[in-house]
Amino acid sequence: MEHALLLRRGFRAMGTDVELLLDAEPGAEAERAFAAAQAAFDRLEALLSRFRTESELSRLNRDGAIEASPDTFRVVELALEARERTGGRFDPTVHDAVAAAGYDRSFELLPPAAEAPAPAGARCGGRVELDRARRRITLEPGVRLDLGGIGKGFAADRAAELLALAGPGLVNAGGDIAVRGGAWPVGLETARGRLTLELSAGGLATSGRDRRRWQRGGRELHHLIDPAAGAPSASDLLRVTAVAGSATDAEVLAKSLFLAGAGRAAREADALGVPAVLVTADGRTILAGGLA
Amino acid sequence: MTNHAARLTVASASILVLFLAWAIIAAHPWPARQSAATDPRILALNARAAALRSEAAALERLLAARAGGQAGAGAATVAAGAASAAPPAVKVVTLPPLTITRTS
Repeated sequence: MEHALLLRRGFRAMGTDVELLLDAEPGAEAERAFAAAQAAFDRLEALLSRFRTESELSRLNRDGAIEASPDTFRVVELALEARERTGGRFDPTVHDAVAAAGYDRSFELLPPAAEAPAPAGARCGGRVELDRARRRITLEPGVRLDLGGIGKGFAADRAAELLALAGPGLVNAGGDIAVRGGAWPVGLETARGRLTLELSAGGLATSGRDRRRWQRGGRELHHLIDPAAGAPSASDLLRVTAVAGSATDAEVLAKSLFLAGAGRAAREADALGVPAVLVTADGRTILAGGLA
Repeated sequence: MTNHAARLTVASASILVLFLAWAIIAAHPWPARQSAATDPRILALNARAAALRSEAAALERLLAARAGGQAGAGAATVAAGAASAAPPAVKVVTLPPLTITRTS
């Protein structure tokens, strides 16, 4: 694929750097596509951020029930389907656990170290009811949702569809990548260097404990919560990159494989045919799911 | 008289030629076929339709699995649903990357 006319845009949204790539002629159509893709991120962040008190998600977590917009309802629906499909490894009800671990404000504002004692585990896995006819979401008392990761994948997918109206496009939302059309070489970090995967459709996501991490009471913590423990996962993996039919699915798979641990994740990726790159904490890189 | 008839004939022929040329240009048959095949909006819609078909097939498989009482058969089995939509073609290449994925 020639990229002589590759157009780029970048902006901040959802607490991360977002990059848009479009293989098209410069002009009004490309500018409209960029503007629409950025607007999709802004709109979805306003709905799904747990750090904005006026967002639909914050209202849901505060009031326990809302009649949601189509997008919020769809993301919650996808998150609950993912919880079921992954046997509970992916779970949107980790809000209190991730907040108890110290991630209780936008990551840029989080103190890297504090003297507070390491937190105890918080309960995850509570009931969430969906009334599709009224688009009503109801949480079991005491349950709160965190849609950070899956919301970013969902936004990347929606933005990629809007970009594709002007030509083949790629959206990179801080590691959650959605592609529509074309063939795109995407770099990722291995244990000892870099690897490039060429992706022609769908999505790719990386989950790990090497970036969003902090210390409490001398103990290192991170944002990937193991719902079974209600605390940051003790996985022997450092990070996982997974490829799927969409960035939303890739985000779910990357997190699920991370929580599985190296041995089980490699077996599952092979068995399910999920292309994945596993980087272990002891410095090994494992290609699985048909990658070689 | 002869001149008048000749003028009338020439004028009629000119109008006929003009009309035929206009009709051919208005029909615009040649680029229509090309734009349908290359219009990025059509391609995007086709890609979206393929994605929706894939999601529908995945949903059908999930419903079939549930109906068969397989939904609670262990993490590996239920995790299969997460990957039920076939992943897109991906390969390791030696090209310089256009973008980087990092831990999100």
